[in-house]
Amino acid sequence: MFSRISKVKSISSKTLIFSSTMQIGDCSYIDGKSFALAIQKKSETFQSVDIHFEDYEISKRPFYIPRLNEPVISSFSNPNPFIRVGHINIIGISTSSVVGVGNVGHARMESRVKHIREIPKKTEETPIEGSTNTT
Amino acid sequence: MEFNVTNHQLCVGDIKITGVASSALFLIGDVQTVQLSSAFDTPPESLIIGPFVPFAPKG
Repeated sequence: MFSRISKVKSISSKTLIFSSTMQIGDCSYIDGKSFALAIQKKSETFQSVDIHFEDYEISKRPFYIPRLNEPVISSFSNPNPFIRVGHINIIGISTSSVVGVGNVGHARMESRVKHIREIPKKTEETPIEGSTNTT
Repeated sequence: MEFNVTNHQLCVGDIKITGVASSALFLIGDVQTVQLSSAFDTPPESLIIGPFVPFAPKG
């Protein structure tokens, strides 16, 4: 059904971290999953506190994904069998992301991020009201 | 419902991306199915004021 060939002149990336993948060539399925705790804290030291992702509600909620078996009769034809792309430059690929060149059967990606901000209470500092809306 | 697709010429110039993150997918090619799910949680309880308070309570 799908038989197009991807032609990319060049691909380059500075960083590829946290279980990310650069896939060149066809593959039958991609299953990516990332659980992250993003903690912002104003402190000179960051002592190791026992933090478990499982303790947070976001890790327990069910995994909602769009259904696959949609009642759609689809047909595809490829008069031009190529997908041509010039040079690709990606600075960073992170947290279970996938950058792929080639055909893929099924792709399923999941991401869960829990964001926590810890702001010190100081009278001479900027008021709390101003810092609540900052991201 | 019937869905017919005819792929004629597809030519793209250069691509510049700053970042692909949090289980994102950047793909050049054909794909049969894609399922993406993302959850981001920063509730009011996650804003802690004070230096010696432990991290956010559960939930």
